[in-house]
Amino acid sequence: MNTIPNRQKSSAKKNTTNESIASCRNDFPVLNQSINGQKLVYLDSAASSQMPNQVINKITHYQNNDHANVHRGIHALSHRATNIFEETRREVSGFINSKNTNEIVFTSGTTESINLVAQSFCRPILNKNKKILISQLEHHSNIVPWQIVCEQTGAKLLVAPMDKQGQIKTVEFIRMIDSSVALIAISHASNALGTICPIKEIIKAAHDNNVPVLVDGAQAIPHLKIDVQELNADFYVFSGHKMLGPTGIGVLYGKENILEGMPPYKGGGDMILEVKLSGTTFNELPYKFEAGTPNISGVVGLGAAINYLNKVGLNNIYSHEKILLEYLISSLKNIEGINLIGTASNKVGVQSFVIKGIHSHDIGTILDHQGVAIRTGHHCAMPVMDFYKISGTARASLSIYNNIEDIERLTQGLHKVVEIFA
Amino acid sequence: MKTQAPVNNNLNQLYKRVIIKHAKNPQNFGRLGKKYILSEGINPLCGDKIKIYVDLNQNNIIRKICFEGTGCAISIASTSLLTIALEKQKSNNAIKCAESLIKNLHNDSKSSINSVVNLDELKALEGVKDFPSRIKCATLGWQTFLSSFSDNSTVITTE
Repeated sequence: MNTIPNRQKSSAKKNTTNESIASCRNDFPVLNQSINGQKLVYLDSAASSQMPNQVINKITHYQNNDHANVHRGIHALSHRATNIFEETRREVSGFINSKNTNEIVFTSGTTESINLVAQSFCRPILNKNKKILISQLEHHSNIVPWQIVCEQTGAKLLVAPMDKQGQIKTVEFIRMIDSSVALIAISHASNALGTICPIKEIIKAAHDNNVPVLVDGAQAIPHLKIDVQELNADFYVFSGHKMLGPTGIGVLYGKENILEGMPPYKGGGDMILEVKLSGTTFNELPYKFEAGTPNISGVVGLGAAINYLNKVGLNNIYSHEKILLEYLISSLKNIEGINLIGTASNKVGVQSFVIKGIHSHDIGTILDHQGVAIRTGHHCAMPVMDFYKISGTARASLSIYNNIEDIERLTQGLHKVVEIFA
Repeated sequence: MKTQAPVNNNLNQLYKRVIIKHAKNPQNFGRLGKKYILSEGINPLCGDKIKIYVDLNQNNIIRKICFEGTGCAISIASTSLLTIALEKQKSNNAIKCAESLIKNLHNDSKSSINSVVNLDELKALEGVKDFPSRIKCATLGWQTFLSSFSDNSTVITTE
């Protein structure tokens, strides 16, 4: 049964007929395959996005031609690898509009970036009178590093509440800010719910109290144009693999004066100026935080992903995903027994849902059987699940390469789920 | 176009009517009021949580098994079937049955699921063999049951 009103369908189709976006899909070779005999529909980009040929080819080209260790050798390859590596740092800096490249530290991902700030920035300044303030909609990676550092120092972890729609209660959040708060750590967008958080307002209120703010941008970076200076974030962290790049590479942006005052997080090669057995002089920013041989091909891939996103344009991507999200939401509402989880007015392309009497893993298996990949479970956000008193959700998340047909395949698949459990 | 190797994972084999029936209306769901052995199983990635209560008499015969918890259709139906299959069994027989069923679902054994305990409905669980990521769901209740008889009382997992 097709429950999608034709009028709505045709208008959604018309609105997404942006040729540059529609043709993007052809850049992603992984999408050109069948799962269980049906063309793959990938709706799990919030867990990890796929890579376009432009990224895959750039990494291959680098490995085929230019690979050597960076910042070390005097030979041609080392020189080339170092150039590509540092060129990418400039591209990242431009992409999020940091003041300069010293503010861009390469890490293994968002999780490592947050742990770095917890241990290097927070640990030395925390004590039993200090607090870390987070929100109720955070991913485990923006909860557990703070729990660990609070355990180590006796500091307290405060959690600001959200409402039924999955939106942060801004007034209550701001009311919790005072001079005893050492750092606020908050998602720009929620991975489980898609909510875009009012980070600009929170950063302003935090700075009025001289409290620095870390923004977890993992779910925002592939969807929204980020300007760290305009946001005035003190730290902004994200991962390559959520933004069409490879896994194992991420970024810590930090304001230069703050990063300068922080001790190194890890010790090793590349982060030193001089090592004597009696003591070591640490290198300057950003190398102070990049101990050991970095993930060079990951950095190369991240640079290619940034170029790709820039070429398509973040504003185009946002508009494309917004139309798809609206269509997704209106289509899901037609499924029998469905309950949408996360209904904020301002969201990225993520929609969680539950269906009465049907566990999310059964939904996931039946959809997979029809070639549709979604995420099921608690999405590493168990406190969010506790808030809604559910064990997990099914979650469809959108990217540049999705289209109206993908959403129709999802809803057809969900009708089958309901039929099996009827 | 790339195609995956053919997989014979028929949805109707996984979600047989028996499974759906037990998932929607699990048998012996609840807790035992009197003396019982309690065991607990959790699959943290899935979020499945199951508690099993076993009432064992002096002759080591299982009087009754109850369970409670949350989980997918496969884990709930499988545990519901367990409570029927193993009731009135001697504990050593029940343990053998659980062990052979777990082996069977992992394809480690050629023996039929029904070789130890005769309950036709248990065969419905064999559908998970074509869905490797769901075997842990079908075995959670059975592993949890087995832990009732081990000295180590830790919470078990099949992930």
